[in-house]
Amino acid sequence: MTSEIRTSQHSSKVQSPSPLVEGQALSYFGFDQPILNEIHFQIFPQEHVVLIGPSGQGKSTLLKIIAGLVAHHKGTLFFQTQDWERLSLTQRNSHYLMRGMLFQKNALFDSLTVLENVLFPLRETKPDFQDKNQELALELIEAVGLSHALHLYPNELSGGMQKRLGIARALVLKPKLLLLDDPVAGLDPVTARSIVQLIQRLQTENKNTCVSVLNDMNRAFEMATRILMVMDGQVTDLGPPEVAIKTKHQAFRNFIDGEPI
Amino acid sequence: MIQVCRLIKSFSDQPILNEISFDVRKGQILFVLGQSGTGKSVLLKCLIGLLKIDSGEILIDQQRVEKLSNSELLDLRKKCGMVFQQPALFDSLSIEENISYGLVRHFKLSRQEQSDRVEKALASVKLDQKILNLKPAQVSYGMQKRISMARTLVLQPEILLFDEPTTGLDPVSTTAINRLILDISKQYNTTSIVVSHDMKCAYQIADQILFLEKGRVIFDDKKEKIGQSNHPLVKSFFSEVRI
Repeated sequence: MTSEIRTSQHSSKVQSPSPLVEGQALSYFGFDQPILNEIHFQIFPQEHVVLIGPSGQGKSTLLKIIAGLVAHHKGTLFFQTQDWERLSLTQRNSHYLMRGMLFQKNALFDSLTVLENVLFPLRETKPDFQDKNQELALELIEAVGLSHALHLYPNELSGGMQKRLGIARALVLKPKLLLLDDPVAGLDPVTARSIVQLIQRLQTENKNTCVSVLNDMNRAFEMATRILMVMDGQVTDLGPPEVAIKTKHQAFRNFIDGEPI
Repeated sequence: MIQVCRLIKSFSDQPILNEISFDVRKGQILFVLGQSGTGKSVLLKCLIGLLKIDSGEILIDQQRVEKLSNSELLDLRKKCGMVFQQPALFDSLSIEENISYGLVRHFKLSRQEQSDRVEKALASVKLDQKILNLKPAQVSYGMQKRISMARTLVLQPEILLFDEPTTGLDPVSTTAINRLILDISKQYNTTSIVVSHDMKCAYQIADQILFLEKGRVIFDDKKEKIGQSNHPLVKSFFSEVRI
């Protein structure tokens, strides 16, 4: 028995000559060894790059580096061709506002309801925001299937529902760069497919760029316009799903089949 | 080994589990599948008395769980190992202390015996001993999931309850964990209930599948029969696997 892999219906976007995010010889060190060792990568506007690879090998770390939440130790990270290290705090803050992030453990506010969690980024970042302008928040909550739980708190939701809430919150600022750390983990296949469709629809509407970490290979192939494998401190570009699926890269073949690499 | 009869559990008058009935024989692996929010995790918590049921019967090893006193429940829970949906590790304890936590509390073992059991449990989830002195925050989420599993296995329980054991794990670790559940079940004749969304895993290792929708059972049979189900939700899940 093998997993049935459906590739993305989205063709790979035409790559702009100017990447939105670029890493040059980036390294990040763990306790006694490099987690990421002089890696090179580029993320182009409107791509959906999916990071795959064995656990503990730096996928989430790379996502957090791209998000600007974790500092790399060596090399250079560029955002819209600007060196991240050379940006002022104000410039960095304006970059942060362009990003939406779903964390692996959702990072929801326990003391806020579903609606309040989704409204939080709007209230914090838009000085002219008024609570009566809740349409987008309500639309996103409906899109992730939580309309019936508007006034519940995170601890009253199941694991899958918490994940869906985290996605709605990550999307509410209509970010140019959407970073998703395992957006379908803990979701059943039906909900996972609807989340994939939601993310793809919003990406088309908002023309944003996505970078996701995924462990579900079916969803990875549905969502990605390009797949990067993070393993042994290196990042390997496997290309668009229709190319990646035919790769002769043995470690990748074993990985998607769930066999030892 | 486990019998559930007409179990009802509600929250705020909203029934989450609605007249659920099923049996699991000793040594069998039952997969509980269904969409998120349908009460699968609630079911596991009811089984070991972490949640009080509204009505119905739960029999584990001939004991009526809903009638047990707190001290009897504690004895029952020693037989049942539970792997939670989130790793639920103690942040302030090292990985070794996390894994040996239950051993120290419930068993009188020498330090050497304790250490041997921790090493064996760690090896069974394919983790290296060099992480033993680290804190949970210093390892990846996937590793935390495997550590939480080692913490359960180290107690060598008769019944294992898994709440989405492979969520957040890569395909290689997922296969390894599935094989591990199967190996443990065969080796120790352990009875296992696995709550999952992963139809592929269910098809690989389950003996029996219980499918829930909106708190009701829509399929309860051997895994080989699931391909014959005409229920749209079951078919939708089943489309994730190709035989």
